[in-house]
Amino acid sequence: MNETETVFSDDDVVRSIRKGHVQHFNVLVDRYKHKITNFIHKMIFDYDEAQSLAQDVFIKVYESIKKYKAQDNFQAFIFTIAKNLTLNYIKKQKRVRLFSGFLSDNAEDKHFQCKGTQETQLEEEQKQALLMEGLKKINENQRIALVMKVYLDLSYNKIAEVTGWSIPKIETLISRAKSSLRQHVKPHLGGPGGHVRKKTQEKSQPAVLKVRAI
Amino acid sequence: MKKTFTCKDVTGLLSRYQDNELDGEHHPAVEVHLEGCEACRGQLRQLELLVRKMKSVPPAEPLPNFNALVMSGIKDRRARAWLTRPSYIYSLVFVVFCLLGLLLGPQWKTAGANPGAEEIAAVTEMVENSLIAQYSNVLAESRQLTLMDVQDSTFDTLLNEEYSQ
Repeated sequence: MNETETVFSDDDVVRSIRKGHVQHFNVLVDRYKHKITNFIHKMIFDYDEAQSLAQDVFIKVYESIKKYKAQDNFQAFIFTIAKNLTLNYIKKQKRVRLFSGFLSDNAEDKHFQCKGTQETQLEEEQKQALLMEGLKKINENQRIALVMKVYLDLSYNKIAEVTGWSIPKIETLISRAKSSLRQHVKPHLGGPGGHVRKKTQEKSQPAVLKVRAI
Repeated sequence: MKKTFTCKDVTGLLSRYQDNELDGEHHPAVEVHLEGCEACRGQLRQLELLVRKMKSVPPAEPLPNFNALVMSGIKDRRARAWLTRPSYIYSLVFVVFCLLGLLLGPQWKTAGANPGAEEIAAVTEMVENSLIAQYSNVLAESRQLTLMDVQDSTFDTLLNEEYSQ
């Protein structure tokens, strides 16, 4: 199996699967499961659901493999399916919340619960939890663009291929997402800060962690 | 294109610059500005720190048996798809009807034979009875006619008319 992984491209593996070698689908699963699971998790912030959705993505990929054309980009193909299933899930959750009367987004994600025993570790985890909270607050399109850029390391062109958005739109979405996120975590970001922002930092909410701009 | 960029120009391009997505036309101009502007350099550092913090969040890893779960899910879907295929459903309906026909057919056949014979017997009896009744009536009528014949001489005329029809 390792030889297959290093030698064959995604298209080669797809061709093999179409010929009936279903077990070769594992090669594609191994290649993309980490990125897909992480992407979905950073979109919905629920570890268990992310696992379930990620599996659904691959099942959907298998079912749609006949639609995949060899000249297309398989990475874009699989990320498109992941994006669509994730957005469907988010919309469904919004409807459920609206129906049940709860509009809060405080789904506790065990993955981000602070467990650290040491102070620095706890601080770090708090910052991460704050980051994720900030990420949760930005709108889905901005989140998709930012998560694809930061966590999937896709170029703007690749993101455009997956989402169907124009490059200028993607630039705007990512820029605004970073700006919103930065506003949310600014007091706790740490490290060297911009002189322009120093005054606004003093006005903001009482910081849990005191950050000194250098 | 502008040869020198202001802070306002650069602020709008910093995100792309930080993502390494700035084209060859703007990239050098932004770099030149950053060399001489501490404020914009600070903003860039903030962006870089933000992304670094984002990347430091532990990634969500797939379950150890992820592959097995996926392959199992694929098998389930394939089985369900086969069961709901139209040709399969039609074949199943056809087989069910054939089985019903085989099981219940002989019963229908035997049930059908007896009622036929019984009906014939009943009908035969009925006909016989009615024939007897009619004959009895005829006899009675004929006797009456005989009496009438004596009583009424015009009756011959009527009989003659009847037989001539």
